Amino acid sequence: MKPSSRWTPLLLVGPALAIFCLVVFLPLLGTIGLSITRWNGFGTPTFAGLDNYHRAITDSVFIKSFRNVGIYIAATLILEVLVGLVLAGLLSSRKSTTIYRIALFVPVMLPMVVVSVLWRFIYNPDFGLINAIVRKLGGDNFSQVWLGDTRTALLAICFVSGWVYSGFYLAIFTAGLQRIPRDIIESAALDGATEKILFWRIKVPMIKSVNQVSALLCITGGIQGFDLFYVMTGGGPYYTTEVPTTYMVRSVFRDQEIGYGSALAILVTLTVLLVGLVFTKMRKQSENSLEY
Amino acid sequence: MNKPERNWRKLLAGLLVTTLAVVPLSSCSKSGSDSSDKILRISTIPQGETGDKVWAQAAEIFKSKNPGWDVQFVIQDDDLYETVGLPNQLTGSNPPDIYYEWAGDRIVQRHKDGFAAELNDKIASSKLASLFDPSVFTAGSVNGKIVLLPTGQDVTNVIWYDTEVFAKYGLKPPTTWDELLAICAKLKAAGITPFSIGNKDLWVAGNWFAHVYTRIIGEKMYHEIMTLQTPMNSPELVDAMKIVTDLKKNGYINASANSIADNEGYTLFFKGEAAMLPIGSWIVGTQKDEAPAKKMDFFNIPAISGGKGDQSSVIGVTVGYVINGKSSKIDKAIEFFEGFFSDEITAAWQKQGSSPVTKTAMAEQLDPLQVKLGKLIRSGAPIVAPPDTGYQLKIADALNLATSQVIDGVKSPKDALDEAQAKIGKS
Repeated sequence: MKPSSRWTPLLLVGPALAIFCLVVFLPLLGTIGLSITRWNGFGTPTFAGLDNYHRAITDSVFIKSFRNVGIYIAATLILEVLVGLVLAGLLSSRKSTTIYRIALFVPVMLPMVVVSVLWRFIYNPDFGLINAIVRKLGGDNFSQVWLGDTRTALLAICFVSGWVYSGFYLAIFTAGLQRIPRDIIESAALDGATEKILFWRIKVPMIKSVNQVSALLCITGGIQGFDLFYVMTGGGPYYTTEVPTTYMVRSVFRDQEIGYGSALAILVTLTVLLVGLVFTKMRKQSENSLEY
Repeated sequence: MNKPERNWRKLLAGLLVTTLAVVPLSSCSKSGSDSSDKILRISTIPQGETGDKVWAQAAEIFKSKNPGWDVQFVIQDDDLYETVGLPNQLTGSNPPDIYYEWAGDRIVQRHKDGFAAELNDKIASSKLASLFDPSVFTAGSVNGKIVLLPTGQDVTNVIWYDTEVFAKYGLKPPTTWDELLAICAKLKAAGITPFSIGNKDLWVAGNWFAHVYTRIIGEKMYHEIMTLQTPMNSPELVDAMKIVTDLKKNGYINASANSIADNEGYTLFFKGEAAMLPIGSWIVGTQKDEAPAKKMDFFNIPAISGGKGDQSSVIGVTVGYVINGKSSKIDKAIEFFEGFFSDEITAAWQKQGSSPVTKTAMAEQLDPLQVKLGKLIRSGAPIVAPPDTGYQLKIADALNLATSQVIDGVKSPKDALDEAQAKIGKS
């Protein structure tokens, strides 16, 4: 059916466009504008040209924050996506697993700040649960200052992230696995395929698009990760857990360098966009393969 | 021109038109945020359970004299308030009419940005003039203009010690740094961690050691470093910082120092896991709330031989409330403070463990520890400004981070201070 007026399509998309402009496009333009100024948030901004961008790309802490987020993403691809996938495989091939699914999904429903505070207590070097267990088992030498040691702080956060989001990816993969026709699985089983072969050689390749979307969510979500880092370590010790978002917040709100923080925000946004585009391109190249 | 290109152009045109339509709308909403309601908004840091009751009492006095008016409190954790919270509130749509502040560089900046009302005339024409000795306004003035109504003079760092532990091991408060090290050695040998600090947010050790550095390099040089007149990696400060290395090397500070928050550091001390706690005067109120059975006393940083600073100096800051210079309710705020600083509320604060600076309070202090702290800060010794409240946060952060790196032993004083200097020199 054709629209009755040439303005009809514009009227229909108008509200959505207005909201998009208000919450995405305008703030983005504003941030770009601020990123070429020096401003403490109170006085009058002064034009700074590309100085903030030059400072950002030579700022060792900002560069380190990308390295940290890279490690975080690599770790969470395993602890969240891979663990979620394996759990989905284990649970989908067994009966009466509802209780396990619920238990694994509960952390996803908890507010991230609650999770962070909870795990800060668990990791507390003096009164925390982990060190208490270690000491009880006689391993005094293995007790650690988990969040205060440069060797363990980032990994400790990655572990918490895995604890929370593996349940989320479990739900996504379970939905994907349930879409695979049973006859394919039964045929393979009749041909003698073991559970392991069924899972890795048949099920996983058949939900390739789900795998790709999950990886994309994990990567882009990782770059935008903030709450766990901010509450658990505040970026410390000595920037070991500083990620672009925490550094951005530190620059804008703590150091009151709105211009510099805006430049960081633009660079982080460009990075997320770039990753998204690369992924979309990769997905298009492999669109012809068989999957459900 | 092919079809996708036409669609792209249409989309861009649509975005532009919608943006132009939305801009005036968003500007309208901003201009309409000015409040002329009958609400007095006060932003502050937590005052403890009993402190909250005193606030409520002060609010009731104001409301009873101003029917139809309300008092709203926004209370934020002190670390958050000091850094992110207050600036956000001041630039938000419902900015506070009154807000908590620390004297020093912070109020200079607030005054410069128009967020601190000049109160000389208002004080002179109100009851406030008779409630205070004029000398207490000095620390809260900028170029002779009073911008901060003082509620107290916080000693931001002394060494609190467990009197029972000290008695058990026959220890006495030290008068020299060497005596302090001897006490630490004795405690360590007895299996007790000498110091507990919760330095996750950097200011706890920052305050403690800034005072120690000042004793070694002198107040003048400390001020020059904190105002960027002298490089942070000056050899004098590098040498002074070696004192931290020694404490770390001997295991005199809790291993968890940099990973736990300030209140977790207090808990370690209250639970007897450490014998000494380097922290400020506010611990008196915290101890009353959280560990009323704890027996504690304090001593100032003992004299460091060969130090260039005044060896009786005190690190402290005047704290109080600023009336927002952009508020339309300045007169009402003054009325609120007439009740807030009244003898009735002052007595309630004293009972809570605070040490107000009104004439009445100065004449009669109730808590012996507060009396002792009051004597210390009013002893006439030089008062050193803490890095985080006395100077720019970014510079304070650089010094405090360097101190924390040395506490953990991940960097030598020189490397840590070189990095700090590079950081502040670049911004």
